[in-house]
Amino acid sequence: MRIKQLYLLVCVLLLSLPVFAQQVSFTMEAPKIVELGEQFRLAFTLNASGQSLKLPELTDFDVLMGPSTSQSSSYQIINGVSSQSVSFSYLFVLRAKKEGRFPISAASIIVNGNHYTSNTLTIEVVKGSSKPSGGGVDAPTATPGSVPKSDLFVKVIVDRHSLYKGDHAMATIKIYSKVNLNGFEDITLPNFEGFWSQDVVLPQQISLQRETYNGEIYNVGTLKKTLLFPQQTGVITIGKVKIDCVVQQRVKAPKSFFDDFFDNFANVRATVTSDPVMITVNPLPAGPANFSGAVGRFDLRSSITSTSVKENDAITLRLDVTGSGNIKLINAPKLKLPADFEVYDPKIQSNYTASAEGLNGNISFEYLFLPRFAGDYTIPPVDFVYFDAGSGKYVTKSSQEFKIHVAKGDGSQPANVRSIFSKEDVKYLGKDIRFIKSNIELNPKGTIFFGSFVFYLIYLIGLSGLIALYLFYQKRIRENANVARMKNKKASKVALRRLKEANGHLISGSTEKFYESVTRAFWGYLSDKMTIPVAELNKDRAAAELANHKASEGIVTRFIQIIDTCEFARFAPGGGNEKMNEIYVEACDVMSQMEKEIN
Amino acid sequence: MKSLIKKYSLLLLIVIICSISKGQSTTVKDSLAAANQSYNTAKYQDAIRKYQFVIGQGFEASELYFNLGNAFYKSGNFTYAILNFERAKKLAPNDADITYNLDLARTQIIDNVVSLPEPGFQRWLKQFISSQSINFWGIFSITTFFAFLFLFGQFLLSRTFRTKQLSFWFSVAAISISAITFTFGSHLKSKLVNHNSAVITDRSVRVKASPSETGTELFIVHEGVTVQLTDQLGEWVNVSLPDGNKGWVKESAMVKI
Repeated sequence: MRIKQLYLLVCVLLLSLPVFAQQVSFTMEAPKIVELGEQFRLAFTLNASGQSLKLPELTDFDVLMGPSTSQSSSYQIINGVSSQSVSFSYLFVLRAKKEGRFPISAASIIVNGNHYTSNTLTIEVVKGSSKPSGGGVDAPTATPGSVPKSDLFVKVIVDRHSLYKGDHAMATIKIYSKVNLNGFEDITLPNFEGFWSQDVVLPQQISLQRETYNGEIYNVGTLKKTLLFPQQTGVITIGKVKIDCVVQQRVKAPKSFFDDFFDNFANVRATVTSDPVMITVNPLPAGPANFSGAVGRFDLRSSITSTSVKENDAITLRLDVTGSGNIKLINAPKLKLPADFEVYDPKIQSNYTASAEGLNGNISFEYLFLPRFAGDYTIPPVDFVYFDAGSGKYVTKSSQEFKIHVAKGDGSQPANVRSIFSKEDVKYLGKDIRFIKSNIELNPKGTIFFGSFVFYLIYLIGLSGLIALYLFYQKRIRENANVARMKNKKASKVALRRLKEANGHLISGSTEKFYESVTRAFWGYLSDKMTIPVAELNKDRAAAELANHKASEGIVTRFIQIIDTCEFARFAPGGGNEKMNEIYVEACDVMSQMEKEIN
Repeated sequence: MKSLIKKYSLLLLIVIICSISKGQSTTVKDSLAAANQSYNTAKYQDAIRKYQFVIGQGFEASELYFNLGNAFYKSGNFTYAILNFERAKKLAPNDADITYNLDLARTQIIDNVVSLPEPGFQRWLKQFISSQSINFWGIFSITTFFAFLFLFGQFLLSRTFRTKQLSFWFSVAAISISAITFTFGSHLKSKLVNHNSAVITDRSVRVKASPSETGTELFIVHEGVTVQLTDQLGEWVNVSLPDGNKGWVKESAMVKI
């Protein structure tokens, strides 16, 4: 010690290099668990030189020795950089007085005027085992060459025995020992069938730590820590762990004088196997269709390389899922891109560390796509659905929506791209039924116009209308016909009467009236006979009508002659009674002839 | 005077019919709108219930059956979707949407029944008849009947021979057209009124050669197949499939369209 100090002094003096102050650490160390009556060390370590150390009160323990101070220092030059470290330690030897958990409060020290406090500790004191432990060396065993099961065993400890599929459990393989373990020869680990497993990185060197198990103190070594993600539901059994250990054991040799002074030790091989462990895996509750398979707690972030590009320029959309859970097993969320974008498979990168909380870290999905045609597009938010095993619910995180403006390409580059798709068929994105109709005209059931009462009624009305019209017309025709017949019948009578009237005028000698009566007799007769109004009659018409009524040519000429004579005589009287008489006779004759000929 | 009374009574009848249907449909219209709303928000079971309520009130429309069929389709019940599309098609034989959805629904059922090709003229005639609604043919028939009445009236009342001749032949043509379109209409109506087709609703039906349980089993049809009913004997119905197969099936295995 003295020499070391001297050395240090010489070095410092010779080199007189600046000493860089290190981070001061002041720690307290003690075993966590001790047996009642066991002696143990409580040490304070300081990596600097300090003053006025204030120690905590140690009323719960017997202080057997201490504090004893020790100091060490080192000085090194690496690549021209020198560093120096000093270490002071204060040591106590304590003995536990009673069972229980006893806290030891912090100690404090002053270094370079600054106040530093150490950590605090809690020491658990348990009832000692029946065998007094002799400083790590066992008392001779009853049967040499074998190790009792209670002294050396291996356990697979699972932190949860019931969990959801996709959730994780931590399996720890620990070896418990009360004997002097020298090493392991062969370790057979279970292959965790039914799980996806991820080992937690442990220090290479297995260090034994004191732990209580069933109220006894064991030296415990953690061999392996593995995160287990069940891939199937039901009860999954984790197989046995089998370890061949080498144990140093004191052998009872035949008693001799020397044996009392020197113990004989032998390496004994002991094989320990663990009990199988069962884990119940529950299926996940029914979830949404776009469930990503992620179980844990996650956060989603999204980013895009560019929102304004030219045709056929690549865009990368990146989704980052950060959190803890079964990161490795997350499926890429589905990106809903506009239909004529060219999309490549997403690039998936994950980065995580395994810990008791599961896999911590992030997984990123990079979607590369090319917009092929100019326009404004919207990439809808991507839903990332994970199952939160803590709350037993599905959680949806949505990324942000991106609007992309695609400008027309410059023509030279896209030409070769587009030539492949020179002409495109209309792309059918999906097939579904046509949508419901909203404009509904409801009819009471069974009311079809065709064949209804009204339908037939319309026919009937039409038909009866026609029949009525026809009958009405027929009646009119009949009536008209009657009038004509009556007139026809009366015609000769009227004519005769008028001729008689003319005869009267002839006798009385009134010439004008006589001719008038004869003319009227003829016109009236023809009018009645042929149903022609008198006003419409003249000589030509009468001649034509008579010809129509099949009167002979002679009678027509005679009739015309009479009319001519009468009209002439009316306006140029003269000729006397003789002429009138002649006319009268002629008129009577023509009349009777006409009556015979026309009908 | 008589014709005036007739006219007014007809008018009155029409008004009464209209007012009855209007009065009833105020509540029905609400549930119809609610049904459409349920369909829009993808609550298809809800929509089905509401459409069926409207039908239960004694109303019908091809669109109503169409929407109900859509709701059944969306809820995965393709058999009833087919049934309702068939009912809609009966009311509107020439609606392209109904035909499209019916064809799509038929792709979802188990059996793929290929219909026999019909003779060209018969197919053409059927297509022609069903290209228009019943009421179209009815109105067409009435219109041509009135044209006939007019022409025949001309024939009866005109005096010149030429008019008489022309109007006679035209009236003969008009009454023929009227009679033919009336036949078309009554053909469609008989198809509508007589339930002579049905949709199989049982999952799987064994078609027998005779109307009894012990009859020889001819073939198996599954739900969703549309069959023509040709005969009935008690609870047994003689059906013929679109592919020409015939056999006897229990009436309870199907729903008439």
